[in-house]
Amino acid sequence: MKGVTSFRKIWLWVFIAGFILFLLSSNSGQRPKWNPAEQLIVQITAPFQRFITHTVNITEKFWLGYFQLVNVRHENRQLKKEVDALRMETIRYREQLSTHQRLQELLQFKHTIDRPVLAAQVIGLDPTGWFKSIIIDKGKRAGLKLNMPVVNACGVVGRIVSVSSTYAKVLLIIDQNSAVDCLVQRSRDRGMVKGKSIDNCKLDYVVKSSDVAIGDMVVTSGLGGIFPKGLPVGRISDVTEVSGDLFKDIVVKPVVDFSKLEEVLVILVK
Amino acid sequence: METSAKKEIAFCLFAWLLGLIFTLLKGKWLNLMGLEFFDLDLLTIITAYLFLSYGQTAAGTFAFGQGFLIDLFSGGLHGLFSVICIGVFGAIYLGCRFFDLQTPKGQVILVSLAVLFKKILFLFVLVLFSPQVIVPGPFLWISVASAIITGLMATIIFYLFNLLRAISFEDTRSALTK
Repeated sequence: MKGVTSFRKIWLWVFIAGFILFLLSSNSGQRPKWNPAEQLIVQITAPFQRFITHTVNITEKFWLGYFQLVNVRHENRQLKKEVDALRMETIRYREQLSTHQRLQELLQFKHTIDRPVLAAQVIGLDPTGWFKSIIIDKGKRAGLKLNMPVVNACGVVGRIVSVSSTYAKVLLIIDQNSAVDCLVQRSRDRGMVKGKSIDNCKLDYVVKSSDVAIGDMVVTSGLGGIFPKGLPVGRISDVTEVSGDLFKDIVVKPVVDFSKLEEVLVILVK
Repeated sequence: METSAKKEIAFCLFAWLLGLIFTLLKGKWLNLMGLEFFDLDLLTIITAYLFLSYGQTAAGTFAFGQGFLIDLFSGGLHGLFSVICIGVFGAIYLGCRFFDLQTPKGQVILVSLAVLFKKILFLFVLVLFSPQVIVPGPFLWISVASAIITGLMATIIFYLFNLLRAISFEDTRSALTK
């Protein structure tokens, strides 16, 4: 029985193979054509095929597009992060360059002073807005004492008025409680530069007979016992003579920009 | 110690910290922005709030302490701001007899008057001890603007402080009931 079944199977396969060969041989020498029955089937099924293919294409595009979009979004986020990081780096480099330039100027200025100096950083400004003082990050431990002069690359900043072990308070020359004995560099006329708690100072006690002009440089005289001689303080920006007064009314614009103080030098006592 | 007492201490410490940060940042802010039409006087608001919520001792100590801190960081006369801040506390103390600090209206009026009083007292002490001081021309207008802005902001800040304390108390309550 088993032998009969396998015999039938063999014949079935032989028949299929023969039919295929017949179909293939019927193609020889002419282009394959659909017969009317086949054409009818194609006509009916083709729209479905078109619809399915179209749908699959759309779905595929959408799907791939979505995943691409997700990737693009991810990529975009990463690129933004990179841009931010690079931007921060650029800012840091610029800041370092700016600090480097300032410190270089301070170093150059340091060579013009014949006393030992100590660099300090400004860490705080006067909280009241009325008085002009700063807090620096050096104190007694670094050798700072009361009344030590403080300068920067441009000129005189002020003097130390309070000092703790690691911090010190510096009274700026523009504070109303500040007074510095000075000279007009060109004419050698003496006077006292006093703060007004605004951006300008005044130069007091310059007699009317003195030869003082707008633009003259005012430097420290070295007579106050605090500031060494010859440090730049400011330039004369206005000179008026009030009738009845003994002295000229002189306005001095400090050479230091007090709104941009970051590093200062404390001149140590010899 | 009771939990509510601990919370009170925590809030007072927060107020002190806030005052300190405000004082330390103000110098930088003034330097950047210049003087000072939008001079929000947070210390006066906190003093008034502490007075309302925790009484005279907390408010007085805060006022004195913050004034002392300003004196430390400022280049002015020693004790100037301690005196002024205590003066503000006194103004709030006296003002409470005439205005109700628990209502928004009372808060605006009282805080504004306290700030105005602070400015006048500052000028008076300054002129008394530093006759050479140069008072800027628009000082009066700056003071009035500062007083009004601070007064208006007081109600919002009082509300925020109340909210903070309420959240804090709610946390405690929920923690206790667990």
